[in-house]
Amino acid sequence: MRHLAGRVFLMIPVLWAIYTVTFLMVVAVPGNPFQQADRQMPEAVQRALEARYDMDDNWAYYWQYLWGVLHLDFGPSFQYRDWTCTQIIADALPVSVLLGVSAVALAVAVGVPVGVVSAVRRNGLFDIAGLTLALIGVSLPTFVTGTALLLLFAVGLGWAPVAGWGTLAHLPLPAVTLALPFAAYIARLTRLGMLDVLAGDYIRTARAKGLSPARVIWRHALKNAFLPVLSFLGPALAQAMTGSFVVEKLFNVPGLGQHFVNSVLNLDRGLIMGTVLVYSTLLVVMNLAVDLLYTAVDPRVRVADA
Amino acid sequence: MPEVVAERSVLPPASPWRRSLLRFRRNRTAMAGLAFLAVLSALMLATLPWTLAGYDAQVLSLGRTPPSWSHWCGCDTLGRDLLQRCLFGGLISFAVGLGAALLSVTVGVLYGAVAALAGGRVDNAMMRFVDILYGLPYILLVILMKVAFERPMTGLIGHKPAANVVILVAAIGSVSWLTMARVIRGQVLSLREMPFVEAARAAGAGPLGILGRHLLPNLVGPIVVYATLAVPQAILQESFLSFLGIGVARPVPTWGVLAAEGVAAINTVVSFWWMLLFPCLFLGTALLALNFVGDGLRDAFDPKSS
Repeated sequence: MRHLAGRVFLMIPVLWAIYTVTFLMVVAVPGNPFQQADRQMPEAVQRALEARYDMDDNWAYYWQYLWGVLHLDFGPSFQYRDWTCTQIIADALPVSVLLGVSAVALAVAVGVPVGVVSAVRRNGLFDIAGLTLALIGVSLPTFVTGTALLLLFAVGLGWAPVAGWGTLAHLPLPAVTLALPFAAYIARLTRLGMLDVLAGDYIRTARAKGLSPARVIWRHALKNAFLPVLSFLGPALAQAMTGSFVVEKLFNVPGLGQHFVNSVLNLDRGLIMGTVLVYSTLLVVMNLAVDLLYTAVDPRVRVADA
Repeated sequence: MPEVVAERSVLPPASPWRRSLLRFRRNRTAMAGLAFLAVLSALMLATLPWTLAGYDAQVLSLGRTPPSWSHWCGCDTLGRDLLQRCLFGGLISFAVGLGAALLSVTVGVLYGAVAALAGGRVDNAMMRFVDILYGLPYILLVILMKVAFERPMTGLIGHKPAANVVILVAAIGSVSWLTMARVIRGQVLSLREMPFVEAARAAGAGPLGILGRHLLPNLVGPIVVYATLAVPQAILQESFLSFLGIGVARPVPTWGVLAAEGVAAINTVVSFWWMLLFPCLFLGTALLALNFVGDGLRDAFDPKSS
């Protein structure tokens, strides 16, 4: 328990450092949304606007924003002036979380069994076909696989709506598209892990004492072979839950991913820092959760800690 | 004599390098990938005089004509020959991939090696910095770098598309060195405790001499493997940026730009399928081949495989 408290406490300086690095980068980039080449404002108006959004004093902004973040207040958006960044993030995040969690769950549900069967039937037809498919999965950009799925299932067969968000029918296509590269990577990780584990002595022991092959593979071997997948799941979930800008753009999903891109292109300070902080917090929390799961699954780590 | 020959072929080659090379040459998919890449690169280089002149030659009356004998891959919206654009764009894609991979490997190897050799507090601080950069979404860093450096770089080089490619390479390369730095640091940490490094130190070699003469040759395996796998990664990232409209500037094509234009040309009423199919064929097969080669190299250099 003391270990856990220490880890949670350690997240604070890490997140603070990420906040500071992001702030420094955002300040270093020249320009802001109020300086437009085609619409020159009188200098007094420009300065008044910058003062309104605390752009005239960077360090005051740094501390003020930090104070706001601690209260879950991400400040006003420079670009979408009728909205606060908190509203924008609160609207978009649940959409991305739903999409991301479904995609990762799907990727695990497909990737792990494929990886296990590939490893057991090493160099067999299934293995080679599976490996090639997995490589194709990581070799094509998502906007291409997504378009292919769209053409086939939405336009051709009419099973799903072409784009948009709001009903359950909108979920499968973007979720599958988002899941494909993750599933391919998970299948490869599982296969490598299984090949490593299946050569181990304890597997021979388990076989020798008469356990059925299925039990040896799915219970004894997979438990250890799953560990590399587990450590991949932390960053994968954080990435998927904060939205994929490509998938969101392709399927017109109102998630958080688009704000990563648009906020930077608009130099919308508040929104840049808000989205980065949401992402980093999720990443740090997910990595911590994975580490805790690790200790639960792998007794060797527990011993090393003690 | 026959016995001697037989005995020779049974003995494994003396140097680990030779052994890896031999293992790689026996890997059929990897060799096929390598051959494909060689043929494709030769084709793209040999046709460069024509494609350079013709990649932006617009014949508006030919706009969106399907594949024919005079235009094997059809024409795009502005009546430009798609085959020429694919061949020329492939060179730019390869340049971006190789450049970014080279940059990330150089930075990653130096950073990781210096951290490991310095040890103690310096090592700790350097690796915490890597952790923090890991916590930032990479797309944010890439776009911020592009926004910040695009104008100064254009002024410096004086040629907008060239400056654009340079910035793109720098941005992708400078966010993807983190994993390399971690891998190299781990390797150097274990290598520097080896007797031969101690012997070199005892013989009076300085830290730079140890790094260059004794450590780097032992690191060639992971470096080569990582570099090969970093190339398709960079090409894929460039294609995502192109899809979002922030990749290479028009009219210069890359496979990513062409695929993104192809996706835009697909709609429910009439689809100009060739504009999507051919760029994706080039992109997909090239990335598949690169991944095959990378996987083959990893297997060949893996000390665990006999």
